[in-house]
Amino acid sequence: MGNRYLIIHGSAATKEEAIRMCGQALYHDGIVSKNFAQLCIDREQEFPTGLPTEIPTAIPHAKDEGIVESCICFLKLDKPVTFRRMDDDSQEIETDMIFNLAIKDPNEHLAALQNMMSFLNDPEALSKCNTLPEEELVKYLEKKIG
Amino acid sequence: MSKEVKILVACGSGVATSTIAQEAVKEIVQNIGVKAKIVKGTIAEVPDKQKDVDLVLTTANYRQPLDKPQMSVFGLVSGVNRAATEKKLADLLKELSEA
Repeated sequence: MGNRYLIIHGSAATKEEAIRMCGQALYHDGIVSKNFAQLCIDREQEFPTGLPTEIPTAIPHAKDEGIVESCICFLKLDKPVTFRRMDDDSQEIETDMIFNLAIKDPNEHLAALQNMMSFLNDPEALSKCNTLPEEELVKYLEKKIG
Repeated sequence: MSKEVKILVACGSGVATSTIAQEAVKEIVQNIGVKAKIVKGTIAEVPDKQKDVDLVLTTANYRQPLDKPQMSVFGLVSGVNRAATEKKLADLLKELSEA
């Protein structure tokens, strides 16, 4: 079974604000528990998720028993915010593309997770996130990630 | 006879990146023909779970001193410096299996 996708746009001054926007959108659609955003923020604090890939992105996520179905919420920001790096938390990246992952069963979604990491390493694919209209972008993500 | 290497793969929440890393490690293990047992965990569990394994692999940086060898496998998850990470891990696994 594939992931669901939520696409949102907005502006945020901090990564916490950005994560909260994603968490609220996911909660609003009945996908995660009310405190999912806070769980992601807490985890981000301890274990950051900024990726120093060619086009830097961040993949905040957390374990949440309340996740109803696996969903990726893509947030496109007007202006970048700063995330610390997953591989070295003394370093930072700036990104306006945030992929908030709500994963119900990681083992079942292994292929999708692997596809997503390839996707995040593909500047051409990522640039589509900026240019495609919402409906087409959902279809594109379904095709590329699953 | 080479011995089985017990590996702990840990990430922040034990949900996403350790799952990807575990699969990548499985592939490397098969490719180099080393016997290995892989368990998954969170970084918070590392100090305790290291007792039962020969090698600790983390997807994030880990700065606490450990009794067991430790290596970051961020490259296997993110694709950044993937080839170098694969090589380093393969060498380390061979070394441990022959120890």
